[in-house]
Amino acid sequence: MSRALARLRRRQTEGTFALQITSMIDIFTIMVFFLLKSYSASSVVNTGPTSEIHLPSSMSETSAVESLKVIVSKTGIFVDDKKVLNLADGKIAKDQTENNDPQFIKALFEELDKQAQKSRDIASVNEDHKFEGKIVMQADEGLSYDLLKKVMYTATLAGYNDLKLAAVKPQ
Amino acid sequence: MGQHRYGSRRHDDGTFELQLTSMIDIFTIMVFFLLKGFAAVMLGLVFLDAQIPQPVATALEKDRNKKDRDIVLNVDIQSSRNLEIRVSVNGNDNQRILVPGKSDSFDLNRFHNEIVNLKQKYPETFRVDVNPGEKVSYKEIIQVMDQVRARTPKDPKVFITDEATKKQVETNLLFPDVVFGNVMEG
Repeated sequence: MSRALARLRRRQTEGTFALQITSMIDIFTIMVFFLLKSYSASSVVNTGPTSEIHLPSSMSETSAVESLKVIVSKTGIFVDDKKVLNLADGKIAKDQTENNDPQFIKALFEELDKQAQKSRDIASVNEDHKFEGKIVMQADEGLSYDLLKKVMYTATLAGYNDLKLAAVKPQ
Repeated sequence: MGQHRYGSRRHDDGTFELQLTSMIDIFTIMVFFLLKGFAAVMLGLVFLDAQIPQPVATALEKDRNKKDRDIVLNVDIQSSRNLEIRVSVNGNDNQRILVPGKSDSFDLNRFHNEIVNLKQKYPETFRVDVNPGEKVSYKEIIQVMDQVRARTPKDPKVFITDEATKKQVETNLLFPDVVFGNVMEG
């Protein structure tokens, strides 16, 4: 006790002072962990555009939703960041679609069907989880409806008939 | 040299001071950065709930649950940059409105005015079937959807009748339920 007092007196005579910031650091640490958790759980972050695509802007104020993500860029189609198909400048190769149904993209259907089955399996053991057939499509603004229609058609056949189109707010 | 080995300063009495300045700097920046992101998320959620008054939400839900639609609105987004609105009432073609393109782009202002007029005529309808042409880009589809979904402050007011109180309730929604009508056509 006397040592601490002596140290304090010595400091005071030197004209310097020590800030007690322990409690502030405690608060900051808790805030950082809380905010980091909220930030990582936010659907807005999870549905962020990839560097490969340029999303169009929209005046819509509906917030992003948590669901399966299909990204369509000029170079490929991704399901939840996994590339399922290569595209050449937004064009799909003929052998990637069914011969008798040119709207049906085989590789995309297989992946979506796998995801739908996985979701249904989880729903069968967990009452809180429900397969809603919801999908968020992020596409490059320059892609034509010809390609997007194929993606929507295939997604519908895989059981995803609630489609959300992703866009960004204008700057 | 040995004194600063662990980022700390030893004293003769066996105590030491931690140099936490850089850590506090990082934490301060992180807190402000994360707070900004968190606020954006929270604001988005609030906006979503505050958007639709209860009578409008009820009318929207009623329209969504309709099995037989008496009024069907179709919007053809043509590759030639024309927009065509087709209205059918009880299965019969009632009205066709053509909005010609304007110098290689869609005339979105005129299209929006036509949509607002139709909403005033059919306030209880919230759904529109959109049929884009194959060469129409994703950006153009989103632009058309923006014009169809909600009114702007410059537009004339739109009212629906609250079934419970029979009062007129103002709404900013035009046709928020957009269905891609030609996806399954093959």
